[in-house]
Amino acid sequence: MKRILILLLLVFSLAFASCGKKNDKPVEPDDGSQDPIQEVEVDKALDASLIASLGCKNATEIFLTTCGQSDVATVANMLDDAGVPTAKIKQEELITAREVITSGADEKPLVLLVVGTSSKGLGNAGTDVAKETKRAQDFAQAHLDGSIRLVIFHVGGTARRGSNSDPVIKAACKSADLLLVVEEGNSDGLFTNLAKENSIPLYLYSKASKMASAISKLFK
Amino acid sequence: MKNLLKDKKWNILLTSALMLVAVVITVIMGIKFRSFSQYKVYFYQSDAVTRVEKFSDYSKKLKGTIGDSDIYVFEGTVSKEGPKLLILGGTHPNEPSGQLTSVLFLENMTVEYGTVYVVTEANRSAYSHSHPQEASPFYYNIETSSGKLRTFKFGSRATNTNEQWPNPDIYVNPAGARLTSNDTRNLNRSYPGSESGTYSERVAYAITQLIIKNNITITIDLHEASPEYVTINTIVYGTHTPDQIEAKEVGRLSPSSIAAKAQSLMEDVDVTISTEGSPTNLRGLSHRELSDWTNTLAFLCETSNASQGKLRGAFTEELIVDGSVDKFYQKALELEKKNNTEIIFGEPTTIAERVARHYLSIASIIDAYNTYAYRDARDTAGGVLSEDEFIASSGELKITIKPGMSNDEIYQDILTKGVGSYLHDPE
Repeated sequence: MKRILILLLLVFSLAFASCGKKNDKPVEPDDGSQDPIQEVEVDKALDASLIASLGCKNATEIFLTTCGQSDVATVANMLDDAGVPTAKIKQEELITAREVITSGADEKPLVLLVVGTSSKGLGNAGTDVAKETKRAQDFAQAHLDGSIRLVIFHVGGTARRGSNSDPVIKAACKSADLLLVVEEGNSDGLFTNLAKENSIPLYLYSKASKMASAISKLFK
Repeated sequence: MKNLLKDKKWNILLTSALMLVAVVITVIMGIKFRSFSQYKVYFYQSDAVTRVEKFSDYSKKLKGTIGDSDIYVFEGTVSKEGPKLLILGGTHPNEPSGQLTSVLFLENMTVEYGTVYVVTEANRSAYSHSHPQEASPFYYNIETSSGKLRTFKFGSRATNTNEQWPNPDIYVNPAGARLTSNDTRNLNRSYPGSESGTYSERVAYAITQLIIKNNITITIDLHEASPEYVTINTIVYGTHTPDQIEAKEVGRLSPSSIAAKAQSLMEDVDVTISTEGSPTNLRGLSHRELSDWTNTLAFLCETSNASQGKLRGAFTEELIVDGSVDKFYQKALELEKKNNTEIIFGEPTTIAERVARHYLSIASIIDAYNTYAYRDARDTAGGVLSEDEFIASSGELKITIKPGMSNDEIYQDILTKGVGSYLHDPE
């Protein structure tokens, strides 16, 4: 009887210890990054020298893709609104860094990479996060190797943050020429810290439509 | 008392009395349910309605059945050619803003260019009963501008078992997906439908055929969901399964592009909405199957409905028309804030805000389509096509709800004056 009671006590202790899954809380300060959030001015105009060095308007082909399978249409629309000829835009959601490098379009092809995965049930279904993270890593590495020009977008706000999105974001933001982010998605300072750690110019926007003027300046 | 209960005569009397009470209650409730089942909601038809078609025009087996819903057709007064729009309300009768929005369009819309089809009761059988064990009110009322009450039915998510019974344990829908037994009677799991299938599949078939035969350009299915549901305040756009992918996945006139543009237009007037692509592995839903099986640009819009939520208190008519009054949701929102957690994805709100949001989503999708259709036509013409020329060539869908008012102004008007200000007085 005594043994049975001890066994029962042990089982209950283990059961209570394994219960109580942490709430999937909204965006929390990034682990390992204890720096206070650096203030980045919102809706600031792009630096002219940065625009010139990127040379986006001279790209013969613009590779538009997504790591996380979200929001690429939003950026495609911005390009269209900015008058970028649709014939120049090669929109492929699953293209890899290797395919871009071997495309032969430009010596240093231009990649516009939209990051973030839907945290919502419908959009999330069917997305292979591990695969998307690997693609993001490859793009960052290709940029580090000097093989591509890379502009990263995050336009989906908090709906494109969380446990599925953040690994993809962190992988992509290891190296890039420019980071354009809607500020709602940076409420915990993730992009601010990534930009600082990896020396990437970061521009924040109050909403996606405010980014349109930046795109206009990049491509005109 | 003990002696009394032992008494045989007393027992017979007590049992008979209880049985009589049960019979009386059953008869009274039976009369009420029958009355509810047969109640016909009044829908006002303006002179702008060109004709009324029926679901049986597209699915013969629905003729003479409860599922033979009306389709209100508005042909453009200047030209009926050009883009065509289907507004689908009443797929789930426990999601009132879907039907009410379709009624708003029915009772106020005029069409200059293009053709618009409006359905207010997509699943009429589901309006003939309520969901068991929900204790939902039968009706809810909306006050019009002149103080009169328009009565609408609050039905069930599922087809009535009068039309479709029994349910298999696992439902294999026409698209081949294996779904739960509950989804057998869910119209929004029955697409693309089947002419000789279940009742729900026949209705889905009728809607799919309506879209194919009339070559409908844009289809918008209106829904609501519980505030805890993650896909809330959202436009879901159709995508395609890998073996169905065609050029319409990319380009200006793709569903993703139009949804993104509509989102941007709504954000410009400070209305936040998200967009989600229809997952390829979730079958049977309108946005999934209509994208695969027709040429329509399929969208589904969701707003937040507290009466569908699991946290709610008493299920009253007040809850249906104003979810913000529910004290349990109020408490949940307070606790969310306090504990920095998120379980409410769409704050419970009034029916006016839900209908206004659906209205603005539809108007923005139309504007997005028109913008991009023009740009495509202009590019095809080598850049030499003016907007007036494009409109004159019936390239644009042009509708009006209130002359002289912008989409945002109408949105604000619905918010401030209420849905009733857009409804005609009862018959």
